[in-house]
Amino acid sequence: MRLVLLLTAAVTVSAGGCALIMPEKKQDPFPTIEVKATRPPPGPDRVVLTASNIAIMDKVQFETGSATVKPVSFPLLDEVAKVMKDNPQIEEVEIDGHTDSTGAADFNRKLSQQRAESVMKYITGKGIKQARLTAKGFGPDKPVADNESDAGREANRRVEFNILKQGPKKTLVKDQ
Amino acid sequence: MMTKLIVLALAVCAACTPPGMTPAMRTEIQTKVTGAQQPIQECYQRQLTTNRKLRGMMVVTFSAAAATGAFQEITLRRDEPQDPILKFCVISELAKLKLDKPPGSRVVVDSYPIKFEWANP
Repeated sequence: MRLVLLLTAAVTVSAGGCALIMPEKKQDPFPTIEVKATRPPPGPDRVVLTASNIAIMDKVQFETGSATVKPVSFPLLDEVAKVMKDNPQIEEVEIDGHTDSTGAADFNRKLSQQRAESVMKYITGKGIKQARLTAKGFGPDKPVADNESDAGREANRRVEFNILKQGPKKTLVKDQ
Repeated sequence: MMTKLIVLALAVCAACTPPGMTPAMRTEIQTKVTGAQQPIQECYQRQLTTNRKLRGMMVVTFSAAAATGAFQEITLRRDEPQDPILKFCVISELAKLKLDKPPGSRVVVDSYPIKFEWANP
């Protein structure tokens, strides 16, 4: 009886030991789940090159009270970067950050500066040389609409891409 | 001496038991993940409206908890779409799943591929 138990234990131990040194069997792959969705039709150009700026037809969105660009705006900024790549004659672009007049002006100037810098960082990350970009935060100092209304404040919270310097035109999509 | 040997044998066995997945569990995991396809598809559809270039392969790893069967430890081994919202959506949907019966031991899924593709050119 003792011998049987001993043998059983020994076999178990050695089997366990074997399992330790034997490579684990690779798991058979699961079948690929295919997720399909319909692409929306291409909309009108959201980014248009004009004589004086790179106009964006959408907003660059940031996290509230922060300079972090929301991921939803990445494709828009990708398009801005593409316009700069496709148009090497654009030598210098100033990224301007603007806010509405809500809150302390100094805080808004600082926040808009940080937001402009965040946008610049994202675009340089897409392969645009930093020498072609500058960032400037104006806070509430250059409103384009009345700060008394929601719509006006919304319009004033914006990022602009103004062309400061460009060489001979190679491609000009549209003029203002 | 013999008792010690038996205890040792049991301990070694327990330590070496690979994360077990029976064919039935495998089928159930497949069914559960396929069941999450619809909400994942809706999420993909939504994200395509913000980025119409979005597509690519995601490979997910996860485990089913021994005691509950709940899907957990969900991570991406591969993420071609690189869309944080889509990634969050996939992880959230998988985290809602669980096996019908607790498996008793942790079940690991090494690799579950999900391909995101446009339905139209």
